[in-house]
Amino acid sequence: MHEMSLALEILRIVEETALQNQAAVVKEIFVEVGTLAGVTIPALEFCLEVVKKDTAADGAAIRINQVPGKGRCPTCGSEYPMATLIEPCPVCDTSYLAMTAGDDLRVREIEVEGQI
Amino acid sequence: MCDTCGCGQPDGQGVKIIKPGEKAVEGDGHQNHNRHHHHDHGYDHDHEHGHPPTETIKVQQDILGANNLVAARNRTFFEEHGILALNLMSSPGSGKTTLLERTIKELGAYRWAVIEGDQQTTLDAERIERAGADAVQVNTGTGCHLDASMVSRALESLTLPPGAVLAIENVGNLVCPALFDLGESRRVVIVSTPEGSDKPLKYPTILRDAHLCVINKLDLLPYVDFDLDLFKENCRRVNPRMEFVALSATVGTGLAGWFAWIEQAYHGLQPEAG
Repeated sequence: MHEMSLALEILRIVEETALQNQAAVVKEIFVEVGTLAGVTIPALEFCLEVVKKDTAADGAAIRINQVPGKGRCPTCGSEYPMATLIEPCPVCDTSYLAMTAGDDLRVREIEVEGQI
Repeated sequence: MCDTCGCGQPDGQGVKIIKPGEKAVEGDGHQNHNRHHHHDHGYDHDHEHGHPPTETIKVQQDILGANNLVAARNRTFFEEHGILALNLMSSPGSGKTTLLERTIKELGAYRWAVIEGDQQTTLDAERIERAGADAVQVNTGTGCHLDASMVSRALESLTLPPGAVLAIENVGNLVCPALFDLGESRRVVIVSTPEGSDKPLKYPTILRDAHLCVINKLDLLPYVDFDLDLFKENCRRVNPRMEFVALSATVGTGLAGWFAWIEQAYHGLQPEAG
């Protein structure tokens, strides 16, 4: 599954950041995942738990924040929540929303402790 | 364990770039993920003397950023050399390789080159070479998708003259390849008639950013439950601008529409051409 590739890349970003800041231990990793990003959060959490072993982030808590999806109706122009990629406009019904938010996939910040 | 470059895997499974008939090139697969192994910083987990203060470090880095950077380099390379690069994605068995074989044989006006992606074997790259195009095989081992780095590495083993058409046949998978920009000019999703008219509703992510949907195995329509109009309608719910061609790569029906789309895409890259 692609969540493993993503977990490895998150770990690389985290370790690079810790190293650049001469931090010894990573305590928390904050990740933003949009509802419409095409990523399964429990799978990502599982993969992160696996890949962080024996690294500076070994004991880090994984904090994944789910960013809600939003979409605009091409007919009425209004914006509505969008939980899946195929959502009819709640007002116009036959028109389908075009995504305006919710495909985030980002390492937001890390909490570190100690100096190397 | 790394499913992209295979480092740390005891059986040595990793991404391999193979020219049919030659030895595999493993190369340096660590461009985007330098290391996964234990860094000995002497972590002090002994807290009897109290916790050192914690510090928040803002990162704000896109997880796909590293891949997108390599993809952008690939894209620049293709644009600078007038190369039309197609990312072909589908479920395993939808007919990507058969369609490519047919296209290479019948659309001889173009110089074709192909990057084949599969977990194992060079079978597809060998088929492409027999059809008359230069091909290189990427074996992902346990990986489920191609990424921009693999394409970049594969290009080193391929003869790709300016003005060529490059087909990148992604790993058969309707889920994972969607997230990984390869630097392609166009994204093509291939669905075959036995897969059903509701496929777009079940797998919207891969359709959202595609330019063309090829409906293959038209010859099987009398034997399967597939409604072409309903299929297109379902596709348009997630991608209103999706273009369609329906064909049979084995029998030959509808190939003219596919060739016309390629020609249009190709000439879109060459603004000076007549």
